[in-house]
Amino acid sequence: MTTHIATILARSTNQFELEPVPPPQLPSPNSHKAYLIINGFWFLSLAFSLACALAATLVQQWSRTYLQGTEERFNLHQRVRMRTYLQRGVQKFHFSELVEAIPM
Amino acid sequence: MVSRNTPHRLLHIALILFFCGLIIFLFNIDPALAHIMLIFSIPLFVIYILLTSLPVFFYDCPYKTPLTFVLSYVTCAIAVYRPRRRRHLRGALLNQWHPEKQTTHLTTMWAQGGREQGAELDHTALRWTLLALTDPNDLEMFVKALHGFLQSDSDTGFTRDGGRVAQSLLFGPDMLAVNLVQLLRSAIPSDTLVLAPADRRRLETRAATCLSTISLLARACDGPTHNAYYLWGAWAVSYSNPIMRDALALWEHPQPALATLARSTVFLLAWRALVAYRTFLADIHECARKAENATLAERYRLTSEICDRLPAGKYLVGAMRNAVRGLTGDPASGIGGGALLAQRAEELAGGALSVYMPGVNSRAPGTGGLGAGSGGSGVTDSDMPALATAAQKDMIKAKMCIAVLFMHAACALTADAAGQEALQALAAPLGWPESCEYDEDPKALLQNVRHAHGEGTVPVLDEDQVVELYRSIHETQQRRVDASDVSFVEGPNIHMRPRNWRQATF
Repeated sequence: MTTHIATILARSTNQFELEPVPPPQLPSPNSHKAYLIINGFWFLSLAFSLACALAATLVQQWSRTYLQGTEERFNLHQRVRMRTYLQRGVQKFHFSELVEAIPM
Repeated sequence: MVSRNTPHRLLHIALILFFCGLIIFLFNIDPALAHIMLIFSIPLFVIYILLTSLPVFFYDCPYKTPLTFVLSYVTCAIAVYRPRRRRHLRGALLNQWHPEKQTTHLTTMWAQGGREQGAELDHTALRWTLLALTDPNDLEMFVKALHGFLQSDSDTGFTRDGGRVAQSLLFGPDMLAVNLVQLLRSAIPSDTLVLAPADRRRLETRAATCLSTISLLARACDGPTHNAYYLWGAWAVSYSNPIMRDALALWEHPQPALATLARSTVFLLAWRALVAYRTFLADIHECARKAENATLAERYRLTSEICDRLPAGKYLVGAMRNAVRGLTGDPASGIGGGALLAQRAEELAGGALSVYMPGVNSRAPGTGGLGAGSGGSGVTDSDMPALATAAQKDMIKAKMCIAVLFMHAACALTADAAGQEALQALAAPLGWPESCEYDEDPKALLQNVRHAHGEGTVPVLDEDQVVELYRSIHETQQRRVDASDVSFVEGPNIHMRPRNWRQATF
């Protein structure tokens, strides 16, 4: 690859040497595998980072919903009931474990 | 709601579309790469679907995505407008599946109160609060609040809700009533001399708060539910006996108000233990009588139920006996006022049923039946008639015992408002139908007890009033409450019935 670029550069600087440019080599079967792995990693990291970002916004939204549910009522009794209800759901579905598993 | 969530929803749709497009694009470039991406993104997608659909079915699920609303509207539409669905079901289904149920519908439902779900939530909240309290001062505030919670606005009795919630809260499987015991113990200093007057006053206030809550509890709710027979052991060992001991320690307190409170608490605790034992006897009697005339399979079921329940009787007898001994002193010393009560209680404890309860009389050999050693737990279905008769006999003894206890209280309580209130609490109607030898002439019994007690004591009320109160104990007619209010207000008698309110949950 570098020799190919060098010849192109040489041709652009030196107009008088008219040598035929060899076509770029096709990747060998061996390097095709490397190419696959590299691209796979790149795309997977893209997918994972997108999923993590999504999860982070979701968790933020869930906590906001929880806080809203516990704080927005004025009647203390209702607020206690709502908080207990939501808190029990949080315990039932292991919310805090899930939040700890997600990078924020 | 919709407008606020729209950007989120668009974002999520955009992300899903991006992933779909990426995978299709990769199929054109290199199928192998696309397969790798597919393998990793399908689980993510499944998790997302799960998070979206869980809240549709579980309203208390905290996970929600912006697409949940869409899904729940779809589910609601399918559930409600499915053809061939009967028309009258639609309203209920609309309630069940409506997407906004969690936010608005639930709160309006609980705001009406009385609904079982709301009461259960209250219970959970209270239980968490009580579990989280560690500081004695906070606990004291809780106990004080509990006091107001048990006492209803009307003067007739207790709110049923208050009694029930207190019962399931304090006498549930984790026996949170132990906190009360600890608080009362912390209010009794080991050496009063080193305390500053302010500290001593604070401790006295705490003890008074504790004792009044305990006596209210004794009036309003019978320990654990009678179906939860396995809890009675814990009740007797970790609640009734220690409370009894500490209340007796305050019996001769220099502060007269506190001493009165301690006395009435002791009497109410003894009364509660006796009533609990009588309820147990009635249960056994009922079961045994049913088993006599039942089919074979039913009889085996009832027999095994009785076998399960009988061990609870041992603890109940123990609690009752300890309470009465605390009141009267050691029966062997023949202390004046309580001799008759002690004698009646021993008769009851060593009664006909004690043969079937091994270990009841292990601490007082020679006073009761001697069949305990011969493996009394193995009750077979042939014992049923004998068991029913034994329980019946003991029920009569229990009635005699409560008569003597009442008269003893009438002589021992002080003649002020607190003493009168305690005596009236002891005269709460029970409606026990057995006949007893004191029924004809209660006055004679009162004179007998008072004579034994010493003439110097001042009775709380005069003789006629005491006799009238005594007669009100066994009135069989009950005050009927309005049918619409039946879940809120209870007559004073209602706490005698066995309860099965949500006991699976608690």
